[in-house]
Amino acid sequence: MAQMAIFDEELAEKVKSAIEEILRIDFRFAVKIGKGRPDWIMKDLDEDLYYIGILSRIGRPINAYMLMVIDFASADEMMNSLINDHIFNFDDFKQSAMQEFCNIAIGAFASEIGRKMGARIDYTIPLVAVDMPSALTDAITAIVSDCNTDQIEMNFLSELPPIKIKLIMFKDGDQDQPQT
Amino acid sequence: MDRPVLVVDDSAFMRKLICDTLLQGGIYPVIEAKDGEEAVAKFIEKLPSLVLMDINMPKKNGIDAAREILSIDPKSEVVMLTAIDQEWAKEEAKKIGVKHFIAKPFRREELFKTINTALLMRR
Repeated sequence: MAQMAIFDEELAEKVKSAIEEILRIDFRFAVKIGKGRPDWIMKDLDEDLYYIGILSRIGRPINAYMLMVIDFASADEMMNSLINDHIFNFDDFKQSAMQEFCNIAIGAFASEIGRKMGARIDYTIPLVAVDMPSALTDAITAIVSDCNTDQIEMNFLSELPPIKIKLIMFKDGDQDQPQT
Repeated sequence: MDRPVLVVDDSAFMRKLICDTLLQGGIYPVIEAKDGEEAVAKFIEKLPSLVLMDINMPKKNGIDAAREILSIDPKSEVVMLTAIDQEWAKEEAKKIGVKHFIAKPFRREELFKTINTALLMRR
């Protein structure tokens, strides 16, 4: 798909800058582009562990879902940086912090795509869930119409403190507009 | 400052971050609203000197809320403070009379500089 050509490392670089600015921590990143079922890209996660998943839908002309996945050890380090607290008792305020973190990361992604395409890119307010990897992608598998969907996986990693943030975009051809 | 600054954001975390930053910078009193609808209601009730407005919010988005606020008081100063750092958003904001736009994640210095400029313009 020609549209996929706009997804390059520059996009991930913009997201990295936003993440670094919020957390005040240096990150490196790796980008993988592929095709498959929405759960394909989750294979490197531990099936028996719970993760924090934050989901948003990006509207036309992209038509995709963005899923941020964070393990609890990483989320604990992030919470320390964001609000000087631990992830234990993941209450509404802490969920709000993770949601806003994701909102800013997706905002950076959408803004850069918008700049490249010269288009308005809308996205929904991110939703936070805590579940196992298969359950986190079940929701997307149920709505993404194409079983062989284009996917972009961005992994952001920091050494000190150790933080892993996975941001995945799943293309969807069917729906037109994000539902808020 | 007699009249408050109104901070509008659907994220409780972001509202606290902005309010704490303002208070640390000696800018108070500060009041909060969690969506565009509440923002308009609080604006009418408290007549704030300045509004810091998110865009992507439930019920009523920040552009619509700012439009309503500026129709109530065209001399109001609204600062858009949003993760939507896109041309369309800047143009829409400008079209309705918003003169200030800050992209998240914001820097304290940028926030204070913009607030000071906005408050000077209001005088």
